[in-house]
Amino acid sequence: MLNNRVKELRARYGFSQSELGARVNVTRQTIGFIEKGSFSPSITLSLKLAKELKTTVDELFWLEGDEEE
Amino acid sequence: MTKDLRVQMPLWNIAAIVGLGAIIIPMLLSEIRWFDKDLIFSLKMDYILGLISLCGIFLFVVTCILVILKTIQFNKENPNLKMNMFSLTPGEYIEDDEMFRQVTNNATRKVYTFLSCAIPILTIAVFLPKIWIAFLLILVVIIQNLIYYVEIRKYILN
Repeated sequence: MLNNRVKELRARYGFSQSELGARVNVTRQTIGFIEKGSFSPSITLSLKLAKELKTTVDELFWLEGDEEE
Repeated sequence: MTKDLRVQMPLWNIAAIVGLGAIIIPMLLSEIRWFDKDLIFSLKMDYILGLISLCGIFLFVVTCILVILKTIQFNKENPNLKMNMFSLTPGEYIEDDEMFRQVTNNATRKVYTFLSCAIPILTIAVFLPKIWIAFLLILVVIIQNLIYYVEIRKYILN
């Protein structure tokens, strides 16, 4: 499973799921599924999310069991 | 999202196929007499079967009209996701973004798995009476649409 900090960083920058979705050109539902770890985004979407949340992909996503740096 | 026409489309398909079934099955159970040289036939149906057929015609026509109206409304509300009524692509595909493309892929995969089992089994139906062939075909279409709807709904409600 892919763990992530999308929800945490989204809250930090004050985005709603819809707002973040609109910024990276996906639906609100997709952001919700990514946050829950039910959907693994493509590299393109991961890069767009990382850019909008002012972080890097490896800080935003990591595999379950791996240490979060 | 549950009110999205694309999510509801399998249910509309089921309504239309039930309507068609209610027209075809009573016809197969009735006496059809063809007149020579003309494309004219007479249909002798008992009261109950006639009533079922009329209900079928009503259900089918109403379903088609409602789907057309809902499609026009959907296209007005979603100009960037327009559905083409004359396209061979099923209206139920949701491809708004990569997650919905994956959801659509999962649902179509399940339907394909079902059809790849159902169609070979259905070939045995050629030995059955016509009424059974019609009944089984309608049943397969209903199950196919239900599988698709349940799979999509699982994601939409989550």
